Amino acid sequence: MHMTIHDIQEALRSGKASCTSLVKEAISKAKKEQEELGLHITICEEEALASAKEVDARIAEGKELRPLEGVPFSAKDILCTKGIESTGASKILKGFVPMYDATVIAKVKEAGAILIAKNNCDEFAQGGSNEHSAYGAAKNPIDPSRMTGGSSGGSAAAVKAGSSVFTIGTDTGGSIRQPAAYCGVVGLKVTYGRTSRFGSMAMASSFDTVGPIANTVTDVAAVLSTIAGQDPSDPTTLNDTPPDYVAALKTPATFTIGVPKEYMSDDVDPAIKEALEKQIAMLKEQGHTIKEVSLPSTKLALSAYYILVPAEVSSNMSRYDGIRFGPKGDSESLDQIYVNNRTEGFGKEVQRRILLGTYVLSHGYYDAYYKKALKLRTKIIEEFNAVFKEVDLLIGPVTAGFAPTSGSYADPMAEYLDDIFTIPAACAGLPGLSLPIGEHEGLPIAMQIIGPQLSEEQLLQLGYLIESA
Amino acid sequence: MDKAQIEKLAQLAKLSLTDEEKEKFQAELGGILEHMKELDGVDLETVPETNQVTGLTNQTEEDTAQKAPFEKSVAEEILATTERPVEMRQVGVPQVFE
Repeated sequence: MHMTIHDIQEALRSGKASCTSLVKEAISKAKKEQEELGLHITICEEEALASAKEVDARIAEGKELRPLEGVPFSAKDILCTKGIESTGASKILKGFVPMYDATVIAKVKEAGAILIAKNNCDEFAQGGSNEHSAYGAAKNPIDPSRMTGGSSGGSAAAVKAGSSVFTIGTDTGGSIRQPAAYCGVVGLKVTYGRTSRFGSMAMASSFDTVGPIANTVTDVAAVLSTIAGQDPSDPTTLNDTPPDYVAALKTPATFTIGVPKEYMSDDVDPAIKEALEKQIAMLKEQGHTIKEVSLPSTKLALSAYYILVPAEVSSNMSRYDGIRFGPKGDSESLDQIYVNNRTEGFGKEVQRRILLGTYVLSHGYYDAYYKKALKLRTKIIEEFNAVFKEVDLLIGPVTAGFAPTSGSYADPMAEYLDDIFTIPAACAGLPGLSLPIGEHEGLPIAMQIIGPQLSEEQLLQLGYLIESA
Repeated sequence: MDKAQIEKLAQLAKLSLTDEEKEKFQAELGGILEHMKELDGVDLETVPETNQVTGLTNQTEEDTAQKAPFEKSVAEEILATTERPVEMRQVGVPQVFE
């Protein structure tokens, strides 16, 4: 049903399909996705067809296919794409056309992939529902009465709906893993620093990661191989040379796997728990060792996250001042330009996080909140380190439940609570894979695999084993 | 959280809120901070702070000339996007000090 990278390249090599025909099909799907589900903010038909023409010319000349040659992809609108409007799903950047590609985008393009659209998301990646976009809420392709999840909602959904073989999203507290779970696709949050954040509109600079979403573990591995690596434009990228993630998939491996008891709490839907326990039993049969472990600060991590992230958000959002881009207001004073632009340009969720962040950083509250959260972050990291001395990887749910129905969050805290299992790994800068493992009443169930820093190879190996079973 | 606090925060964040919005944010932020009361009992006295997770510090690179990532004319393109007056490659704004 879904074409993989391998399928696309086979079709191109054998001459069964031209890149132009594949891209035309992808664009037509994207248009339908936009109309019915609100998954995209911009569809770049002209540019995509021009790139497709170039790829067809290369193939006709007999040139060898690059790793992602001819593969249609789309990117979360928080990533800068040269010559294509990039709004961050905000009114404040409406009309902003970047003069450069984000490093990750440049890398996949250099590998031959073809950008067909910019995807809807929560405004500046702030949200877990894709209901906080200034360009409309995104709907779940599996059940349009439900959310896609977020913040990379449009991106996860576009992979499921089929216009995009892969998408590039961002994960700060779960924003790739959670929508991937709700939409039934494979999503990877990388180790913080594994991929470059250059060209990704900053939300929380010490948490943000850029990563791939696709229908299969193999495709996620292929995209990761293309985008991972140090970038001189982003000094927080790690010096480590990435391995060949695709080659690593077929390497036989046995793991000692920990199941954190806090992740299998009574809050988790019984159908999800059952599916996970079934997988755990299968893994035991296949020779892997399963151990129960404990991450005591799991629940507290949510509070730490929602102090630290809004604090960093409030700082990062202060660059949007209305001087170069954004809604204009009539104003005589500089201060009024700032106020008018920001008030009109930012949506409610962004405003909420800016206010909360400003509060926890302000004099008198800094120690009680921000400083305390920084210390809690250390505790969370220490707990993961201790557990990874006993086990190679951890498995558990991505979410406690299934994709909520649209508009069903009663208040902001309810939405934040849905991130409870994705947040701790984000606090520690650890990688996490969201992998579909079953269904319940038509809705996808996902498993999360978490590993120590730079363990993407192992995450993908285990994911591949589970997916192939 | 009281109204005065919200007003102060809005002022710092350069946001203008209606009375209705102030009340709504008061309630929402109040709810979030209520949840965070769970941190009150946690003893973190001896725990050091974590500001970043990579352990990287002072990443440097050689000071050698490289190919500019942007083409020559980009400064002009950037300046063309603003509606504000442009003079000597600078964007004009109302006076900063009153």
